[in-house]
Amino acid sequence: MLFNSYIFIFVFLPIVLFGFYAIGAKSHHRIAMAWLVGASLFFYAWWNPTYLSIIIISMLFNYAIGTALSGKSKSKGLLALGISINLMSLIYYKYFNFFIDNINLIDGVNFNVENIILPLAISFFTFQQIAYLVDTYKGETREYNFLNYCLFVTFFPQLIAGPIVHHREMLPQFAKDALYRLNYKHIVIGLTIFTLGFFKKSVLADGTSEYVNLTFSLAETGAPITFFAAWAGSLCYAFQLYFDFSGYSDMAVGLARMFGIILPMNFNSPYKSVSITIFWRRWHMTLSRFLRDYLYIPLGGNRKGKSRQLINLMLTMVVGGLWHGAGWNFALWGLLHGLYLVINNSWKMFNLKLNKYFSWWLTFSAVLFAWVPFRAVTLEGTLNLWQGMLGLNGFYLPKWMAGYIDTVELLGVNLQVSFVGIFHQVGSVQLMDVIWFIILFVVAFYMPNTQQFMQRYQPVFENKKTYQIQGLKLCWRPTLKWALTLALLFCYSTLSLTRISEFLYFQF
Amino acid sequence: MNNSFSRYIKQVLFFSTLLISSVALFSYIVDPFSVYGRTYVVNETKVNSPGFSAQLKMGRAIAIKQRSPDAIIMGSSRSTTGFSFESAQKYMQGNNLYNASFPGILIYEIFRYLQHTVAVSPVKQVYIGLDFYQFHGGIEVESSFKESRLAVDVNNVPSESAIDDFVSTLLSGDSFFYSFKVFTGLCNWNDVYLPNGFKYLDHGSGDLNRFLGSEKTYVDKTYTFPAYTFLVNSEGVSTFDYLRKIIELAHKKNIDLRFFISPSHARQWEVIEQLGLWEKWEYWKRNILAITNEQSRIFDTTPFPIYDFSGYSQYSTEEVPRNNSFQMHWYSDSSHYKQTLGDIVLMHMSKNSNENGFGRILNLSNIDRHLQSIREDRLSYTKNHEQDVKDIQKLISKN
Repeated sequence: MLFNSYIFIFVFLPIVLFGFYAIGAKSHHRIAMAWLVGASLFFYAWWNPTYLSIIIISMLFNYAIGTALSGKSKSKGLLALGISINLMSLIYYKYFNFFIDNINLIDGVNFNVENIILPLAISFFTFQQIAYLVDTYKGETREYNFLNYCLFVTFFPQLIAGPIVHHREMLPQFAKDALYRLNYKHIVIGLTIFTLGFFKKSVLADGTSEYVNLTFSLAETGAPITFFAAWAGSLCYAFQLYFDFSGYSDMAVGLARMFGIILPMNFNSPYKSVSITIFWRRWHMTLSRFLRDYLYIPLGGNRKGKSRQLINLMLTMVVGGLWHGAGWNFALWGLLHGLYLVINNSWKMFNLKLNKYFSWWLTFSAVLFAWVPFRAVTLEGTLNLWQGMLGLNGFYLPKWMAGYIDTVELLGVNLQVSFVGIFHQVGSVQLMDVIWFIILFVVAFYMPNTQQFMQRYQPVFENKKTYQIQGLKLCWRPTLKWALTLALLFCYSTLSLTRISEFLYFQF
Repeated sequence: MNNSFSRYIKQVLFFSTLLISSVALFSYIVDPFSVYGRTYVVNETKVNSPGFSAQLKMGRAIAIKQRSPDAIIMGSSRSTTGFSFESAQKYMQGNNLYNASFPGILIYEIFRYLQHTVAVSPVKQVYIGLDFYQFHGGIEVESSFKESRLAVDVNNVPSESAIDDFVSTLLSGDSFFYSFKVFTGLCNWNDVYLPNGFKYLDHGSGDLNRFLGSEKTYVDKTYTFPAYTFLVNSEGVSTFDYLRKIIELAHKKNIDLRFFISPSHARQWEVIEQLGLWEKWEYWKRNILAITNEQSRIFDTTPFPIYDFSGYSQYSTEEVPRNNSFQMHWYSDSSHYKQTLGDIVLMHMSKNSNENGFGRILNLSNIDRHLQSIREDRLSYTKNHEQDVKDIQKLISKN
């Protein structure tokens, strides 16, 4: 069931909320928690009930290992076994087909294996549980019962696509008695955050998908994508992905808040970043945190010299890339970001300051180039778009320019120019498309983000200082004006629901 | 403090409910897609709302369910615009006719809409207009085609009742937008359909520009991009497999199924020749014939007829006006024939007759001769229409 569906918003959510607080009001806290676990498993099984056994087995296994690790006899071997089995199941479900496909590229080798279906959210709940095992081994977890643990793993707002939560953020919250009492403040704040995310996802992201699909599928056919179409396609994808995923994260944060739970922040206006290091502190923050704590630092982080640090950075980013999907395009995306971070780190040694706007432009352009392989299906499609962005596939210019320009030259090379309209390949562009693009631009680069709008009411787990804007006048308050605005956003988003849409991050 | 929050949530819920129910009520009253029985009157003729034309695949699926026709016409935009209800009523056998064609239809969609029709209505007669492009396996089914709105799935298992269309016709950006357009009259009232699915008006008379515009689409995209193939995917599924399933279904349900190859203009066949697709086009006809025969043997009955109206006739070689000096009588462009010609097509199909091969029923013993005669006719056409041939060559060289 999608968050942005009628069945979720108008049926599932009200029933689960009502049930939770009705049971909680009678002080049956354990039953209320079980209700939430049951609802979360139902939510998970909605796509395909056969997946349910995988998540249940995974929870039973990890809870058993975690319980053993929290005992007196801490065994490194047991921890290694726990992590290995988690990774092996992830590798089997997510990477086995990819591995076989690549082996089959070798001459004379032909393994025939059935296509393994990727269980939903396996990357998310596996990482979350690996973190739990490691921290339990280190003695950083308190003992909680199985029901609490189940809720930590399955809690439906964050189950499918994060934020990837940490046990120390979640389990203490579940233990609070106040959680089970209906509190309008939580419901209102949650509903507001959810609606802002709903709008970003249903209106802003989905409204951009058509042009993105058109450009990227055309690129896969081998038709050379010309300069402006390639830039517009990759820019639109950058916006689509940001609004889709950050919108989804806001919805998750809002939903959890309706149950009184505060989730960690996942996005903090990443496209406003002025360096790639800052970008990674603002984009998919809970994944970055996981990769830092459970991969980069165990690899040695920056403790083993500069060159080793750079290697660790590269490795972490490539693994991060492959976490998103079993494909060389994701590895390439990770590799590029690794390279960017290496350059950024090396640059710092010179202590040279760049102009703020130039830094922003450079960072955003680098991110944009890297999004191309992230979205393209094949390396050929990626190269096609990159060539287009560099002008190597030629330029389509407006018809009226035919009398003014003869050739376009780059580094002494004459580039192909046709006067057929700049978006000739992907159809005509209307005034509304331009206005739409400007709106996306303004929201991504100039508007406060969701947690900044909500900064008076602790919308996310992190300290307020990490995201707040001092003196922001647009802060949300429970006033009539905001009620009207929210109702309008909610209606607009609801009216946009019937377009075909899937969360882009579901495939990860 | 808690008071301000509880007041706020009541305000949000009140405004949201008010807005959403107002939109739904407005959409229901205007009924921009004519799915709740609303019709409008244009020149004393009852027509569907203009929004129906924009959401044709949805509108057709719902209308078939509601009207439960006993005879239908299926096919592309050629069949959508080329037939008048009056002549269909005159020449077809049903009492409750429906035109279920829609522009750009693919053979897979014809199969699925036929399955849908069979599942919800007592359909006894089906005319299917076959076009070469429909069998191009490289053309993907558009996202406006939704499996979920059809009564059965591809294996004929009844689908669960989908509420998507019900919700989207009342509570979507589209429904609000079209309701507003219909309400304010800001829509094209010429491009509307009658409640029985037939077009209110055909495409009108053609001229050189309209011909070139239509041909350009086939040259730039439909026939060429991606390269023409009968294969749907790498696993060897062919578009002919869907034709086979159509025939199988019709045999099982004792439907009077008749195929006809559309009578497009001779310039359309010249596009096929100049793009190097003529052999494929002939293979296509041969294979359709082979499959109808193969299925008739399996079901131990006579094959469903295939009326071939393609090729060169007194109609398809109609002169194209280069300076609007006269009105075309039979064609709107090289793809679409007018209802004047559609009448003649239906007449021949009802009488099993043909005019010098125009509407000849194909069979295993006449197919070679028939294809040969079209080839010969082409030679004489090109001799007498050099300028038309040059037009097509120019279009292709620009591509």
